[in-house]
Amino acid sequence: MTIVDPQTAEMLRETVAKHCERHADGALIRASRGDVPGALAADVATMAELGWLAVSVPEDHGGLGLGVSATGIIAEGLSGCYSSDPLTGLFLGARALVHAQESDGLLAQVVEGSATPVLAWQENAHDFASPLPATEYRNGTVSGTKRWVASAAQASHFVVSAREDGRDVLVLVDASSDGVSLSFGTRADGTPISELALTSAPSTVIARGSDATRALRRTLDEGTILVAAELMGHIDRMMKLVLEHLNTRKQFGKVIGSFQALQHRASNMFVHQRLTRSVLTTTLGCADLITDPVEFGQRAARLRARLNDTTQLVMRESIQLFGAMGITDENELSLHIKRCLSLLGYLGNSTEQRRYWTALSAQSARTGDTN
Amino acid sequence: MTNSAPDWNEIPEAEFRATIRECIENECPAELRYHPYRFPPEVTMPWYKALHRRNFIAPGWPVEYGGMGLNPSRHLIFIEEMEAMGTPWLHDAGVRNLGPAIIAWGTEEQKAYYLPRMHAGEHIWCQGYSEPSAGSDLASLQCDGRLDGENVIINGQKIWTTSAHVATHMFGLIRTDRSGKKQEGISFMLIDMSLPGITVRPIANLGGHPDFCEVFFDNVVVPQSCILGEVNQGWKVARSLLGFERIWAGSPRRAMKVLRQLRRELETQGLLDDPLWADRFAKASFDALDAQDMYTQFADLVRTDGKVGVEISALKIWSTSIFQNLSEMLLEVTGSRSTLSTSGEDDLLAPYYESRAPTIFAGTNEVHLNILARSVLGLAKSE
Ligand SMILES: Cc1cc2nc3c(=O)[nH]c(=O)nc-3n(C[C@H](O)[C@H](O)[C@H](O)COP(=O)(O)OP(=O)(O)OC[C@H]3O[C@@H](n4cnc5c(N)ncnc54)[C@H](O)[C@@H]3O)c2cc1C
Repeated sequence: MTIVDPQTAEMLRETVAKHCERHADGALIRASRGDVPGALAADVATMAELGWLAVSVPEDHGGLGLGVSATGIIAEGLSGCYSSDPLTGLFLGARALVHAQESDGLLAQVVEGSATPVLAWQENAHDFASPLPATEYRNGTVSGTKRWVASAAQASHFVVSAREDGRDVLVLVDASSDGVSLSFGTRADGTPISELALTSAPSTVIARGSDATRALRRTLDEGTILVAAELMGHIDRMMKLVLEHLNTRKQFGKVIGSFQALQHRASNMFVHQRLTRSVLTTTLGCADLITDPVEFGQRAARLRARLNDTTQLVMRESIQLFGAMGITDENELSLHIKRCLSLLGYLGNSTEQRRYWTALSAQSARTGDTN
Repeated sequence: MTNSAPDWNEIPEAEFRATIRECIENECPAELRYHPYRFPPEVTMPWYKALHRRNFIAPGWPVEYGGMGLNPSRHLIFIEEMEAMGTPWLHDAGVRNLGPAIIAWGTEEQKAYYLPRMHAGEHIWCQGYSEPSAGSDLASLQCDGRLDGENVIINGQKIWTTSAHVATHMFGLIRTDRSGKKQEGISFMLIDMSLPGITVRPIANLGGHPDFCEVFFDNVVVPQSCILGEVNQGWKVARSLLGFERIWAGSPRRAMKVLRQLRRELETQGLLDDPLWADRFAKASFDALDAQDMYTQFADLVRTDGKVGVEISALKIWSTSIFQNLSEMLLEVTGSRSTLSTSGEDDLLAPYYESRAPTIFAGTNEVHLNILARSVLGLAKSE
């Protein structure tokens, strides 16, 4: 795995920005709330065409052989469409296959967009530490209920985490098989999130035991980095909106941005924004090169916790500084707020990240270093 | 000065770290280590001299002046190793702060005279900027310098001058002209503290240690050759140092030190298994480790374009604020023990006292918030 080089990074950034310029559509998002599949940043065919699905697939399978650093750039940029869906869902599915070293040709189809595996791992609201799932694999079939499955409407397959004789296993399930049923709930941003019920669904094992545990953990850690990258995009956009407002809204005969009390609040937001940007840049600059799972997990957890906390701060302050306009749906701000609310508790909130980081610290206490 | 020094930026990091550790182990006596306050210079002088001998005293200076020519990320590692092994805090405003200014603005005579002497610890410098009525509004300073032939005659007062009670020299801002804007008419002067007419009065701080002073000037005669840069252009010289000062003030090393202390405390008390403390420790760790990421990024920026942008204020604000948070957490972790006044390594109050200052010096955090609002966020001038 290599880190994305500066030219490719710049090219990705430009492509995403151009895409958002053309396709950002707040009105469509508002009108599609509660629909399945709902408004998407781009459909699968477009993503395949732009090469975004190939980015994190190894070169042997026809991909670009990059990882979360490159995909992170896309996720961040897609905040310009108010949401990166279905990027994260598809990324998780593909990466689970990569880390499980799937070799049946499915990854080659991912690159083309003809296969769209999606990861189904979570069962309970606080599963980020990935406990042994209740979902069970036995004799070629899998049964159980998975929740918070993102982009399930686009799925051709599900990569399902399960238990087999008390050990982790990752299995592949065809989305059109018997025994597979989906129901949809709606997230804060109006987009669907699914519950996947598996009743003796036919499945094939792609990783077992510690291989499965490791593959899932790495995938989730990468996913949390990807969500962090998207949150950064929303933070920057909310900041831009609020600064425009501070510079134009007048009260008491002056622009409100001239009040020192508000300047200090805005500057404080900037301090957090700048800090957060540093942690993200540092992480994206090294993540794909880290092989040690403790170091990787700790990096991801620390990054994500920072993103979550700064996002909350910027959301809260932005709404306040907009006044009543801050709590209207019609304000562009609301699209970012609602998207962030859909992400903050997904793939680990701050408390879960800290708990995970602590568990990893204990694991590495022998060497005495922290990442 | 050794000629055989390796390129410190190029040798492998592990080797670089090992070299610093070796130096500390061999040259820095145990009784000087892990001391919470600054010793008087004579106590730390053998260690200072050792650093001087090895050319380790001015790690940021170019090699030709006896520095190590470290790039910012190596510089951070250097500081990290020094901190981790508890090396004492030195009276080093000279090498840290003034040295780079002399290198940038000094005449050949000034460089030849001052640089080797501060390098050797023969001259100990203090910074005389603040005055009773000129704090955040530094440019309003009044300490008067009357040009008189070859000399400048100084009358007035400085305050909060760190190390003035032990310093041999002061680099100070003196008003030498009152006709123009307040930023004009200030000269950056290199003043010998043994000159007649200078009185120093130490001020006890919260921690009970004299670390800063008041300095009074009564007809002190200083030759004009002691002006660094041009006469009346001292504001420019002082401003050029601010970037370095802010990086230094924004370094997370102080917070990291408290973080290590917190960890030791939690470990000894077996509290790391307590979910509540574990969570708070994780949060504290994130605050400090994230600051390190930010510091490294700014340091890298400086290395690539040689400039410290205005955004550096964010680093200063963050690092100094979390230093306070962590030191307050240390008091909580230690329960009733935190109420005791002790000394040495288990002085729990020292980080508390120490962490009150950096939010005030090097530009108060409020002033930095103003800078960000105006210069980075583009908000309108406040009334
Ligand atoms: C430990 C320590 C060591 C020091 N060492 C030195 C030294 O060696 N040499 C030296 O010259 N000086 C030194 N100083 C002085 C330091 O530079 C000043 O304390 C600093 O510039 C602030 O000035 P002040 O203390 O007069 O506070 P003031 O400027 O009076 O500020 C008081 C309060 O008002 C706030 N405030 C002021 N102006 C504004 C504004 N425009 N907007 C919003 N809030 C504002 C400040 O943030 C602060 O909270 C040291 C200070 C400390 C604490």
